[in-house]
Amino acid sequence: MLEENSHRRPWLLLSPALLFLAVLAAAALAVVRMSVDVPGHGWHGISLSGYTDLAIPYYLKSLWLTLRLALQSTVLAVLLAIPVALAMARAKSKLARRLLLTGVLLPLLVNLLLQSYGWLIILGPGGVLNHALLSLGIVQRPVQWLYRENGVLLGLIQTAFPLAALPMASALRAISGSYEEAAATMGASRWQILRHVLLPLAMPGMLSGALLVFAYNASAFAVPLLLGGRRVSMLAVLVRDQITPLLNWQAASAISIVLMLATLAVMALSQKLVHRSQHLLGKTS
Amino acid sequence: MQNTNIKRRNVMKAIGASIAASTLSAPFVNAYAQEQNFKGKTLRFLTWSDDTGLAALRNIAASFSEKTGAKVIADRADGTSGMVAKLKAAGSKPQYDVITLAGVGASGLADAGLLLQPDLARLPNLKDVAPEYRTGANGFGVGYLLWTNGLIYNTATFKAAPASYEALWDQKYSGRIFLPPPSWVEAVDLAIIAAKLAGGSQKNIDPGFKKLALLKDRILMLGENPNQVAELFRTNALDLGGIYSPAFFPQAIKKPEYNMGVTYDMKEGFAAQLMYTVIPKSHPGDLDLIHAFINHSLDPVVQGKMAADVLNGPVNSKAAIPSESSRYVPSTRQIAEKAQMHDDKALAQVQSEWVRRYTEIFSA
Repeated sequence: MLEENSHRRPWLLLSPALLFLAVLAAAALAVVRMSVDVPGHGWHGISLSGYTDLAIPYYLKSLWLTLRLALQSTVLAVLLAIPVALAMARAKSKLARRLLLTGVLLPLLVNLLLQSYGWLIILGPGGVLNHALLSLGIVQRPVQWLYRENGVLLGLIQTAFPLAALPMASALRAISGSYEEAAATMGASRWQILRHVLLPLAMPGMLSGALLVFAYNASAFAVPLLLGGRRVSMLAVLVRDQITPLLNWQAASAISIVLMLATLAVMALSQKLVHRSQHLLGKTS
Repeated sequence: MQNTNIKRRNVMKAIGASIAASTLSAPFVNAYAQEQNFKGKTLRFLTWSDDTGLAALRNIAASFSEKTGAKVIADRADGTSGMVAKLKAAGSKPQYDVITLAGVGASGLADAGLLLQPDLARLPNLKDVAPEYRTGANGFGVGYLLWTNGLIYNTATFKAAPASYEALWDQKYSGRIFLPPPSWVEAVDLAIIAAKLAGGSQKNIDPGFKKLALLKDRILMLGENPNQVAELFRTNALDLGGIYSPAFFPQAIKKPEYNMGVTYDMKEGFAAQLMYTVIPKSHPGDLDLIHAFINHSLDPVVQGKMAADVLNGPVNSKAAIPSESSRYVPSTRQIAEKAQMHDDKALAQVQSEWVRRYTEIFSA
């Protein structure tokens, strides 16, 4: 009897979480079902037209743009996160660590709309940067930083930065200082220690951060909308177009599924490549 | 003496009312009677969650409750698609008696067989509404406001408001103009305007898209976020844009520091779309109450207040708009002479393709 109870207990404890996951899964399945609706007939019948209609340059270009911007923002966010994560991991003072953590978390704490106004004030045609450049005579007309791909890329990096920095800092903090000391004793420079000791050891944290950034940015909606001036058509924006004003839930669902599958495929592929390269590195060393 | 006067006045009123009742047609009298007898009854009203919805609650729902004693329970949805989704999700058991929404939503719901056709004879205020604005969505919607789009211009740059849409193609404003985003119906109307300027029409739209393509490298942005647009006018980064409704920034446009003005006096006219009130087929409330409510939304005073608050055009030709708002709202003369509405049914067939073409043209 006691043994039976001890078998049940983990499931009982897990049940709230499982229930929550079941609701999420049901919502996702409803989207899958809507993507194969027959237009105008709701859930009566099945049609793949939602998917076949996507095989045109308009959507393919948008998919490519979405994956490209997500990838670029991932690489740049990870590169920028390395020094910040190192500082967070190595900071001795509690205050310094807290300040760094607050700074990194700010993009998640501040409303995205507010952040976009911040960028507008700094980078807009009448913004601080253009004002300075014009006053110094460096440019004759305001430079267009925003409402282009560059503006969106900047926003993607900024908003997803904590997702890259936090897992990396956590992974770096877990590496014992003795490895660095040993490498330094053997004459390795700071750069060599970072390149050959710290980064390979922190690779799992870096990879999780990179995957989080990629997934987060591949589905970005607000950033391209606010900083792209609606001229950078990432796929999530096209999903919204299908819902409002076209009320085409079938197409919107099909685009969402395609975006989800493409993102999962890229994530799986990159994970596999990293594992393979680590395996090869392990063999050669 | 005073009492005698009051009594006499009351007697005169009663006689007057009897005479009026015998001369007026029945529905008008019914409507008057209905408005007085709704105490204890409840109407469920679905509207927008934005400023327009708040204004509807303030100017229509609250004043209706005050006037009739009926209780109005309001729910608000984020946009027309949200309202359509709510009504579709409820199926044959909708929770609403009246919904205010844009034309595309009204047509979609009508096509899905979810609406009840209103009895126009029970809406006496319709007599002051021009026939083309009375109904739509196959007769299932009653027009209650006109969403009107003009050209937004920088009051610091323009000495006089532009008089033609051709100003958008004027090279001197290159890099300092904005256009509506592709998913908005304003983009559709702009394509039609461009087509007309280039010798085409709604049915022959290609010249319009060719003309719009000339603006690809001349625009600063597509105005998806009205607050950003207002900010860009404030910092003098924009000179001109549209077509766009001042209803998107009803507060900012009235502040001089934002340098924004709107004009509807283009020689080509201006685009307008009817917004509707509709009745769900299986409404839970009293049908007399519902008609009285819709009729109240068409009252000239209510229409004037709504137009002033949300900067939309009134459909009631007798609506009086307070002077502080009148320069942002087309006058009843302008509406009668210059308002142009696109063919909703024909548009539904091509809108998806047009959104795609517009997006492709202006992709950075």
